[in-house]
Formats: sequence, structure tokens, C-alpha cells
Amino acid sequence: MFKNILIATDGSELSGKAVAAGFDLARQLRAQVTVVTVTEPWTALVAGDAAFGFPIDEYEKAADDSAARILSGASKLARKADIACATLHVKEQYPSEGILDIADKKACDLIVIASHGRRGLERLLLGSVAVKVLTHSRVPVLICR
Amino acid sequence: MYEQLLSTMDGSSEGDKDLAGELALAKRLFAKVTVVTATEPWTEAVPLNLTRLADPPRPC
Repeated sequence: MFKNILIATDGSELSGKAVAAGFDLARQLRAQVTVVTVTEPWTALVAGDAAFGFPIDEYEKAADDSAARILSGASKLARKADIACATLHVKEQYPSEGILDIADKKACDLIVIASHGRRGLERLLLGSVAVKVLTHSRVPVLICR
Repeated sequence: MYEQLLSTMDGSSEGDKDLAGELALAKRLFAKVTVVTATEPWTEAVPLNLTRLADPPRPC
């Protein structure tokens, strides 16, 4: 059965549900957990003139701070639930690629992720990380809603 | 946690392998499993220009 679960989170409320569901499942299956959050490359977010107003070092600091906040929240929850949990911040990668990369490197046998359920134009512009992970993953994926 | 799992099958060997995993998961979670297989409507499975050749079987 699943022994090594990867939970992906971006710190959103919906991701929080995926973290809780992943921890519940891990507790029942006595699996170990890695919680990962991925921050995108600066170039993916800022282009052209806007780059002058949002320097790379500020972006990196903001990304580090945000990841630390997200992961410490997950760690606290894991300690409360008495679950063995490692946390990981993957920097400068597109979220779906970062998640799949870590799942491979850590030999995870299940990925738990939330789907934001975007539709229409929003989905077209922003895409769906969950769908990309589901499409390209070599291991089962649990999508939480 | 999860109490009702829906397992889908299409008769392929991959599907059989998945079912074994799903049953193992259900056992660990003390969950019920419903196994479902779906068949497409006749009109979607057969292109329009072939529908004459592929009449559905008639009772003898």
C-alpha cells in the first residue's frame, strides 16, 4: 500500500484541505509524508518593464518567506497528528514540474494535491497544476476538492 | 476519512492491476468499494458512415 506520500501545497485554503486529507490518509496507512511547496522562477512571473519594479532578490526573499510560512504550518499540523513529515521548498521551478521531480527523487508512491477548480478564461490563462500532475505522474494522484 | 470508493474498470489488464490496489486501499481504510464499468452509446462508438454496416445485433 502507500508508504511514502507526497503532499503538494501552495498555502491556499483549498491546499489546506489536501494537507489535512493527506495527513489523515498517512495516519491510517502508517505512511511517511513529505510536504512540498514550489515557487516559480522570477522570470515566469515578471516580464519587461515590470522587472525593474520587482527586483529578483526581493522576489526570492518573498518566495522564501512564503514557503517557510506554508511549510511551518504543515509541520505543526503533522506534529499534532503524530505523523512523520518532512518539508521541502522547491525553488525556481514550475509547480507541476517541481512536484513531479520531487515525487521521483523521493520515490513517493502517492501524490496528494488540491484542485482549484478553475474554469473558462482563468483556467486557460493559469492552467491547472493538478491536471498537469495527474497527466504526467507515474504514481497514483489523489486530487482533493 | 474515505468510506466509499468508486473503482472503474474497462476490462484491461491495467484496470485489473488498479483494482487490486484499490481493494487493498479499501481494506486498510475499512471502506466500501463499488466497481463500475461504463459502455459508450452505440452512436458514439460507431462513426456515422459506418452505422449501416454496424447495425446492433437483432434477437433471433
